[in-house]
Amino acid sequence: MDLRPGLSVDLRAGLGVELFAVRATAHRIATLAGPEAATGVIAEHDGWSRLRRDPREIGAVTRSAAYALIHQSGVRITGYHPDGSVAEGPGAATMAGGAALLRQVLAHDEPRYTPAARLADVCRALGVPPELLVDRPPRRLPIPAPRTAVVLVGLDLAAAAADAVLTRQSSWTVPLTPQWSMQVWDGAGRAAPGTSAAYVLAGRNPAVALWWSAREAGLVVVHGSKLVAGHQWGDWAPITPESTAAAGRVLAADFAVPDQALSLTALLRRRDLAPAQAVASLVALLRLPDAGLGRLSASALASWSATVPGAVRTPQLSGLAAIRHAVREAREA
Amino acid sequence: MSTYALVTNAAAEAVADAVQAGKTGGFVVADPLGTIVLFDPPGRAYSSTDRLARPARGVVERTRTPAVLLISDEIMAEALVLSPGGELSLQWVADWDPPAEPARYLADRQEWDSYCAEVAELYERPELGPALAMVRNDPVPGEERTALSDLLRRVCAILGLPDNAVGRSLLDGDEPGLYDARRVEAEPPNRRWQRLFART
Repeated sequence: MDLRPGLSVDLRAGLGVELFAVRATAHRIATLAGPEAATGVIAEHDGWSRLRRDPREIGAVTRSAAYALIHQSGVRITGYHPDGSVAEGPGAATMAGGAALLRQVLAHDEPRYTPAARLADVCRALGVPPELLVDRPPRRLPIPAPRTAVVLVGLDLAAAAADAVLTRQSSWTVPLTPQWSMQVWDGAGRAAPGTSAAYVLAGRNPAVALWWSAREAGLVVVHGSKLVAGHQWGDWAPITPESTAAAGRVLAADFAVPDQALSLTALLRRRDLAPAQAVASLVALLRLPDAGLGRLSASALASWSATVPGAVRTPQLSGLAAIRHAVREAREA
Repeated sequence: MSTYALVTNAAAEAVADAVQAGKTGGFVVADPLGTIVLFDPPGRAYSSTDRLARPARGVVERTRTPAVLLISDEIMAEALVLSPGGELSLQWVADWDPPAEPARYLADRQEWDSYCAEVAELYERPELGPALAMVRNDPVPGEERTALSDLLRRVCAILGLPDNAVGRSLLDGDEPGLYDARRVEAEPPNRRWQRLFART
């Protein structure tokens, strides 16, 4: 139905001739109409989706308002209500004042009123975000990857195991070198955040929270109660050339490998490495033994820890019980 | 466009009964993905989250089913996870700037991840913690910052709740704006007293 006979709007100049919109996200469409239907979403904005085809069916399934704006000799507006009813022209507007605004938009005739501006105004009158006119494919929800985290502690096994209980997680403490031990969550109860555990375990000695997954790998170095360096490969973090140089220097000093400072900085600056590869290279540069760091999952690492000679398991204790346990263990150590 | 809506997987009938038994009326929507409640606005012009959450707590208490109260305006968004075991809140601010120092940023991320694990546990879906932790609006160079309303939609998508409740509120107007919204009035105080006396 032509809303105003004789009114001709040429939308082909840069905009296309059809806009099919439904008030449903791509996720809602995929859940209620099936993943196949969601592939027809070509733009998404503020809870609305722009579709490739007439939205009547998807509007009904998702129980959402839908509109078809088609230009032939004029602008043809069809509104589909979730109850199955159909309205055409200004009657399709459901917002207060929408119908009057639509009439104005469709009747206004001036050379400076471009087809793009007219269609955008039609969208506003209907409550459809005009941003849908720009192709903006829906963002996919990122899929989380299982993460493994450990804390490297600059203490011998006995001293590190004495403090392990203070992290308030059930864990294994495993010897790595005479100067360094590793704390691994054993899978029981809830894991403490790696940086929190590193805070607890770093006293006069350094502690490094190290984690990896298929998406990213990272580390945070703690001295005393201060965060002194951090780095992440993979996902975004505010990494700068200065931060990588500082982290390289700190790691080289803490692990007593001053000759590796430049190599460490170079490794931290690499963007082409997979997380597992980055952690494996880091472990090699720090001259730590291969303990599956960067490769093993949390459960595999816990199982491996149980087989390491001398590894100490500490239960999850809270409050005073943890402090008493740590003091007793430190005396015995 | 503000949001003030409760979303839950409890049955619409049970939710309507719970709203009716409470002190605040509203609209109840039986959506295919869950049940939505748009509560009537509190009497005051300004209301804290605590005040806005009162009728939602009543619904969760009566239905014994975890729910999420979605609250947002142009400046902030909040998803208050309510469960019979307690409540925890996820909050985002529109112009949030994370720490510029990598170590501090990464430490904060770990704390956030751990907190989201707690939230997922409270919602009785602990396996969803890592997915919840990815709902962030950090300003990543080269990418458009995620809108506050989209953050709430992501939370709904992850928890399997109806995301069409986002952008709906009776704080701005009287119309629910959702299909098949059913008006539910709260029980008048005199009838509540009668019911209590009848019980005793």
